[in-house]
Amino acid sequence: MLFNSFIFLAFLAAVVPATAALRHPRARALFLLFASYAFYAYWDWRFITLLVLASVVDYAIGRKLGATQDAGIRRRLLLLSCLSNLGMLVFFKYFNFFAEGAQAAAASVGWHVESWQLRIALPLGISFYTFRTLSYIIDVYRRRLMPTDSLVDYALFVSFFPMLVAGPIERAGNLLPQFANLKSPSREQIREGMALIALGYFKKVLIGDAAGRVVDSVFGQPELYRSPELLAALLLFTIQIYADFAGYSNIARGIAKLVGVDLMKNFEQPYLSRSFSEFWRRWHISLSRWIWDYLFAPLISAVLRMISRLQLPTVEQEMRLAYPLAVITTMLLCGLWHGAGYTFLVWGGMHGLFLAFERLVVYRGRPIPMQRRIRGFTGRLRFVAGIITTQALVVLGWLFFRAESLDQARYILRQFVHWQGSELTGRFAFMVLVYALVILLLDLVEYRTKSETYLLRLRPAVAAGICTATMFVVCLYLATTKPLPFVYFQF
Amino acid sequence: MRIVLFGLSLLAALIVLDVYLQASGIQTPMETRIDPHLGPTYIPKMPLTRFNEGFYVGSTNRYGYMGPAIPPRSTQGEHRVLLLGDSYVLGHTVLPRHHFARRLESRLEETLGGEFHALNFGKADFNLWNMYQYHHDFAAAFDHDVTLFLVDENDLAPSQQIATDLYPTVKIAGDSLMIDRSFSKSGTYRFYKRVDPLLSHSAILRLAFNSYKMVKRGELAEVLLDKLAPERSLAAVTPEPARELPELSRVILRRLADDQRNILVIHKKLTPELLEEIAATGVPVIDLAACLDSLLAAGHDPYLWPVTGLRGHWNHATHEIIGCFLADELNSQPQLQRLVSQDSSTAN
Repeated sequence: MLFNSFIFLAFLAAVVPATAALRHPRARALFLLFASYAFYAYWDWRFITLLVLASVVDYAIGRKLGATQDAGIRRRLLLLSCLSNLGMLVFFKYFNFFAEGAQAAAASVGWHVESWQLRIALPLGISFYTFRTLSYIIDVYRRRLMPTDSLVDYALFVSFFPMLVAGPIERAGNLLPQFANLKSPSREQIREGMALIALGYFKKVLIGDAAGRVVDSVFGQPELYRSPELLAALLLFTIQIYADFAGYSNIARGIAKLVGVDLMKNFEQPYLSRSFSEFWRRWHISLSRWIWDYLFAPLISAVLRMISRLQLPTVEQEMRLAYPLAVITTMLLCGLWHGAGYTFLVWGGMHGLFLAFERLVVYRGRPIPMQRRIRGFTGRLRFVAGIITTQALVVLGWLFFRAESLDQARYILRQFVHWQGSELTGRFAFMVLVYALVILLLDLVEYRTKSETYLLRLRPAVAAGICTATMFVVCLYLATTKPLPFVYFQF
Repeated sequence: MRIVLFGLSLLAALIVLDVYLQASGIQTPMETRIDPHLGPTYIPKMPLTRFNEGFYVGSTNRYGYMGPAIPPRSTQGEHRVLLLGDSYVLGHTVLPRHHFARRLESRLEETLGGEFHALNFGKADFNLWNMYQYHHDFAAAFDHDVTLFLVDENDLAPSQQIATDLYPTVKIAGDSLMIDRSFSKSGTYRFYKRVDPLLSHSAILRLAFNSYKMVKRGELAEVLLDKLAPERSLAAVTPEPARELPELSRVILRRLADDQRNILVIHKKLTPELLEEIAATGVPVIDLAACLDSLLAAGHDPYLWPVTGLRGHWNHATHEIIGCFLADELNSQPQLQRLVSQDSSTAN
């Protein structure tokens, strides 16, 4: 069930009031759990079993972890959870990728191996709920979180429908206490929820989907388009992926608020970042934090432990060696998390390299500041230059992220080098300009007001008028065009 | 006070959204206006972006048809092919440079020499009767050597004249044909004139109009209920195939046969009975069926769009092949070869 479909709006219109009508918090949680399963089953009911299995196994492992102090048993339980979660993910998402790689490797040394491709669909949202369950078990293992007693709460944490298929990758520490005492939404939550939903639909449908139609057409058959059109499509994809995912996150947070749950923020004006590390603190925040906590931090510790054997004179020198190794490995895995394909590996590798270069060369090993202190003309100039340089490289990265294969990415890059003009350059440029200005305007307002619900600073009647108009136009658009799925659904 | 504020902010937001929809190309206002003489005509110099099974970015020219602005008077050595037809000719599924008209021009230039222009007078939903009227009233005023009327079975035997309240209609008057323009006195037309300023400036109203058309097509349940919608029976979707040529079509074809420059191009397979009837009218015919069949035989579905996965109008490859096929067919037409040789002798 896509958020940008009428059937979902009908589902929402039934679930939100029904949840509010239930008086007991446990009844609410149970009802939301069934609603979440219904939401998931609408796509393919067979994969419900995976969701239930992941919930039950990790709930049981969490309980065991909470009950035992034996370090050996605890390690084995952690391993068991990692194996079951990652095993499921690897099987469904990466089996074909690795099998294909192995086959190609065998072929390169002259061995003929039969194809081992599996004909299975990727369960929707598997990457997201696997990371959620892993974070729960690791937190319990690290004794940062008490395991929950309630299977319903835990199952709801895994499958809560607003965030089930594309995040945010919430932490149990934030959600489980809310599910344990699921209150009716406050008036403030309802207002914020409505504003977030309207803003989210505007971004998703009227920016993301609309730009996505051009992007899909051009990337679907790039050989039909000329250099300016290909560049416009790449820039439009840059806008699409942000509007699509940030819009989805807004809608998810808005819906959660309507049932009394607060989800974390997932985006904070990423395209206004002046460095890569700032970009990753503002882009897909829930994933960045997950990767930082559960992948990068343990990895860099391990690398530092190994490097310490080299007995380098200073810690700084050890860090200079450890950081690029850890960050590039982390970003390669982050790329692979996004999709089982070489294009995603290249994208992740590029980001890893940029992060390492930035830390070691541009900032000479110093921590990269998040705070923006812009003083004087030179400061402003440096600020703008930082944004432009970072975003130009981000756009380059998106080429590999969007391209259907490395060959296609290479073809498009070649078209940029051997520039061939088009009679439609002006039309495409204007299209990009309009989308870019609108998304920039929304980000600037958000940045200035430090709030995503800035509409609520207006008089209630004015905010209601704007939201109503937006939803009316969104509905008209949805009625006349086939909805595009969220870009991140495939991950 | 609250209601007034709500209403004003709603209106202001709608205006801002309308501007955004138009500027980004998501939705344009109505690209046609209804001329009391011609019926619906394209608004000149209107930028258009279309997403359907394909993708189109282009505009109408200053004369109110698609493609490069070729003026009514031709220059020496210039040859023209007028194209009339429905959405297949309009070609709002491919970029203008991929339209079969461009391939037709270049192929004719390659084979015959000289300068060729193909003028695209296609209009969505046009049938043979509308084409005849539009050619008579507008397109024929452009100098031309050949006019191609691209039709299929539905265009030859339409169930009725489309939106007769807003279109001129062709009627048989004794042995000849007359064009009835009484639509301009109809209540619908008067209503249209009142709402026209809004329709021709508002993208949101266009979206609303598109939604209305979607409801009229019976697609509301599918849009609202997605895969829970009851399946529509095939009979409700596919119209009955035409069995014979209506009298009006027969008379129009006979009239077209009077001018050697007119050629009927059939772009979907017709029944042998219909083909016989057409042949009896004497109008020259180019049948694209063989060309499209050869594509199918080679494993290329001429109507399948690989990017969207939809079936609909001709895809890029088909446009390319149809352009070449039409050029080769025209190349064999004696009148065209005569014109080109006349030109070269005049130039010498």
